Amino acid sequence: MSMPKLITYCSDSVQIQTAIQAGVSELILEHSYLSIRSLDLVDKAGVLDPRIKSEDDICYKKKIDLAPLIELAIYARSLKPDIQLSVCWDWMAYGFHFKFVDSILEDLSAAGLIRIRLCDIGLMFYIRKKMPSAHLILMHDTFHVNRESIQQFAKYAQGQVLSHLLCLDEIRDIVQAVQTDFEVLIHGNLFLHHSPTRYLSLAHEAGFVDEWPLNRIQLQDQDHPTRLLTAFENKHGFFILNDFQRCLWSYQKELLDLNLSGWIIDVRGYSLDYFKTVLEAYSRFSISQPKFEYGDYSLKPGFFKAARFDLRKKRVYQDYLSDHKIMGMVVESSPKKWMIVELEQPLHQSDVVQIVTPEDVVFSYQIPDVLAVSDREVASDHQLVKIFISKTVPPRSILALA
Amino acid sequence: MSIFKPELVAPAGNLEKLQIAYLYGADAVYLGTPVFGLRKYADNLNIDQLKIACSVATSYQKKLYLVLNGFAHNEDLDSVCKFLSQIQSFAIHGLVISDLGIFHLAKQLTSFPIHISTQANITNPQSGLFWKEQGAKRLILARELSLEECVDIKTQTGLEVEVFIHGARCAGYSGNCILSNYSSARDANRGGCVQNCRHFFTFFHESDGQKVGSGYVMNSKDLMSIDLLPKLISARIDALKIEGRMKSALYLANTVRIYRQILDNTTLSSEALKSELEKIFNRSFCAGYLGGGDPASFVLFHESFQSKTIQFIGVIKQVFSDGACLVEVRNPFCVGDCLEYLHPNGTLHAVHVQKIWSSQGEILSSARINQLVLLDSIPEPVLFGVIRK
Repeated sequence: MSMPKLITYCSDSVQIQTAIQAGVSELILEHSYLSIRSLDLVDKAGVLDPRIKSEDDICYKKKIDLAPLIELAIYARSLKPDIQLSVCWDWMAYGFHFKFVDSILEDLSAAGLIRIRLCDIGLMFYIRKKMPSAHLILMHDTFHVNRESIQQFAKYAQGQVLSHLLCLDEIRDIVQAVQTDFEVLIHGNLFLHHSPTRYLSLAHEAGFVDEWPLNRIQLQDQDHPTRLLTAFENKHGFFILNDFQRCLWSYQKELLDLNLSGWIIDVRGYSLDYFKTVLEAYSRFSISQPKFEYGDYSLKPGFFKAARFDLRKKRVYQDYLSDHKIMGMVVESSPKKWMIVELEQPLHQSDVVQIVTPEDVVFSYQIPDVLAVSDREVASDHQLVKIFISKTVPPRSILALA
Repeated sequence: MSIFKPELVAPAGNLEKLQIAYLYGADAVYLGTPVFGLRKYADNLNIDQLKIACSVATSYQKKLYLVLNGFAHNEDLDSVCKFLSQIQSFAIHGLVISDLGIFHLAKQLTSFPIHISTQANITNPQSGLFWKEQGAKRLILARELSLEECVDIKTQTGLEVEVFIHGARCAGYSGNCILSNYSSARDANRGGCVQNCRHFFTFFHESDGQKVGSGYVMNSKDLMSIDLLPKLISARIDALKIEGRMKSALYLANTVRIYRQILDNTTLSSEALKSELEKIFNRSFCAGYLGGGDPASFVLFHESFQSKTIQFIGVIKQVFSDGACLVEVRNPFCVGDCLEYLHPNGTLHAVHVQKIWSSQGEILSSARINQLVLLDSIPEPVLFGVIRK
C-alpha cells in the first residue's frame, strides 16, 4: 500500500510554484482553448464554440497558439525537472475541432507533453491512431461507470479518472476487476452540468440578467432554495458546479486500500490560499489527523460514501407491471358488480389471477366467466371482456398471472 | 427511381401507444423495459409485453427498436445480461445503447443490430468511427449538431444516422448532466431525470450575494423540424426521431400523423401543420441546432411551458360491425360537444356528439374519465383511433 501521487490543475506560474512546493507529483496544465473549465470570461473574439456563428470565432483561424501552455511546462520543469506534466484537453469535440488537432499534437509532442487528459471518445480514438505514443487518460465524464465499459475503454487509454458518481464499494469492485491506472477526485467541486448553449449571456441579451460580463455566479433553484450552485460561462459553453467541496479527508484508509494511481485535487476558481492549504494538507496526509477544515467551507464526501439513487418507495403495482405476466388491465368498473378488462393474454373461466390496484391492494380472484361487453357484433379483434366481481376494482388495476 | 424517404421513428411507452404509433404512420417504434431504459418512470413494457409488441410490429410489417440506453453501474450488469439472454430470439430490429460495456455485452449475447443512443453524445465523425469499430449499425446523433455536421458524420463513417426532429430538448449535453442525481438522488443517466433545467432560477454575485437576474434560464424550447424536412430528405438522413415516451397518446398520434403527411407529401402547407402541432402541450418551438438558428431563440425564459388548446378525449377500444365504437374516456365531454377524430389516414373529422351510451347500453348526458362509452357518430372508426376536443 503506497501513497498515490497527488495531482492538481494549474493555469499560471504562481499555482505551479505553489503546487510544486506543496509536494504535488503531477500538474495538469491548462490552456483556455483546450481546457473547457478554464475560468476565462466570455470574449466574443475568440470563442471556440461552433454553435455561435461569429466571424471572429477561432474556428475560422488556422492554428491555436499553445505558447502559454508550453511556457507553463518549461517553468514547471525549471522548478522541478522530474515533475510529471499532463495537459487537460476535455473538449466535447465537433467536426471542425479536428482541423486543429494535428497541429496541437505536433506542438504538444515537441514540448514533451504527451500525457493527455480527455473526455471526448472521438478525440481519444483519433489521437490513439495519430500519435500512438500518447499517454491518454480518460476524464471522469466519459460515460464509464461500470467494469465492462471501463475494461473496454482500457484498450484505448492508459488511465481513467473514475466518475464522481461512483461510491467506494463500486470503485473497489472496479479496481479489482480491471487492470489499469485509476484516479479519483479527492477534493474539489463536483461537475454537474455542461451545455454548449451559453445560458447566462443569452439571458442577459433577453433582459433576464442585469449585468454582463459576469464572473462565477451563484445559482438558486426555486425548488431547492438552500443550495446555491456555482455557474459560469466561457468560450466552451455553460457550466454548473455543486454547492460544496467534495472532501475525502476522512476516508484516508479506504482510499489507501484502493491502491489508486492518483488522487486529484481540483479547486479551480478558489483562492490561492485555499489551493495552498488543501495541497499542503493532503501532501502531509495523516490518518492521525481526523478532520480537514477551511473557514466556513462546506466539505462533504459527495457521492463517495454512498451513491444511492432512485430509492423511492417500492410500489407493488409497479413491481407487478415490471415482473409479472399481465393478463389485462381494467378500463372501466362498476363498484362491487363488474369490471371491463382490456386483455393482453387469453383469459378463461376458472383462471385464477392476482388483481393489483393502483393503490397497491392485491388479492387473488378466480374468474367466474368471461363475457362480451356488448351484444353488438364486434368488428375488431382487440378484446374487451366483462367480468363480474363483488369487490370494487378501480380502473387501471391489473390482472396478473397468479 | 423511387424518392428517398427517411424512416419515421416514434416513441411508445406502452402497448396502446405502440399500436397508435404504427397506426398513425410511424415506420419504427422505440420502447423500453423496466430493465435499464432511460425512462424509468414511463409505462415501460415487461418481457411478456415486449413479446406482444414484437408480434404487433410484425403484423404491421414495421420495425421495433428496444432502448437500453442508460449508463449502467456494476449493480445493473447481471440483470442486463439475464435480460439480453431472454430476448435474443425476439423479433427486435435493433437495440439502442449508449454504454460501451452494455454494447459489448449485447454483441456477445445477441445478434441484434445496435444503434448508438444520443446519450453517447456523438458530436464528431471520429466518435462515429469509434462506434463503427465496435460494430454499430446506426448513430443517433447529438442534438447539438447542425444538419451539415450530421451529413459530415454520415459521409465520413458510412453508417446510418438518425436525428431528433421533434420533442423536448435537454438543456445540456445528454448524458453529461447530473443535476438530477445531485438535487433529488435520481439518476439522470438511468432514467430518473427530474428536469431541474425547467425550474425557475435566481442568480447572485458569488462575491457579495447581490441578485443579478432570474428566469427560466435553461428552459429549452421543444424541437420542431417541419421546415427542415425537405433538407433532411435531400441530405438522405436515414431516420427521423420523435421524442416523448412519457407523453400522451394524443401527442403521439398528432405528431406522428403530421410528420407522416409531410414525408409522404412535401408540398403540403407547413404552416397549417405547424399550428396543429402547437395545439398540444409544448414549451414553444424552435428548430434547435439542427436548424442552425440563433441559440437565443432556443430558450423559453419567461415561463415553464405554453398551454395546450386541445384536450385528449379518448381512444377507440372496440369497433362494432354497425359502425359504432367503444371509447375509453380520458377527459370528460358531453352531449352537444364538438369533438375531433384523428383518422389514421391523416384527416381530421368533426364529431358532433348527439348521443352517448354507457358500455352497458344506458343513455348518458356526459362521459367521465375512466369510463367506456359507446358513440355512433365517429366516421369510419378504427381501433386505437384517437379523439380530441
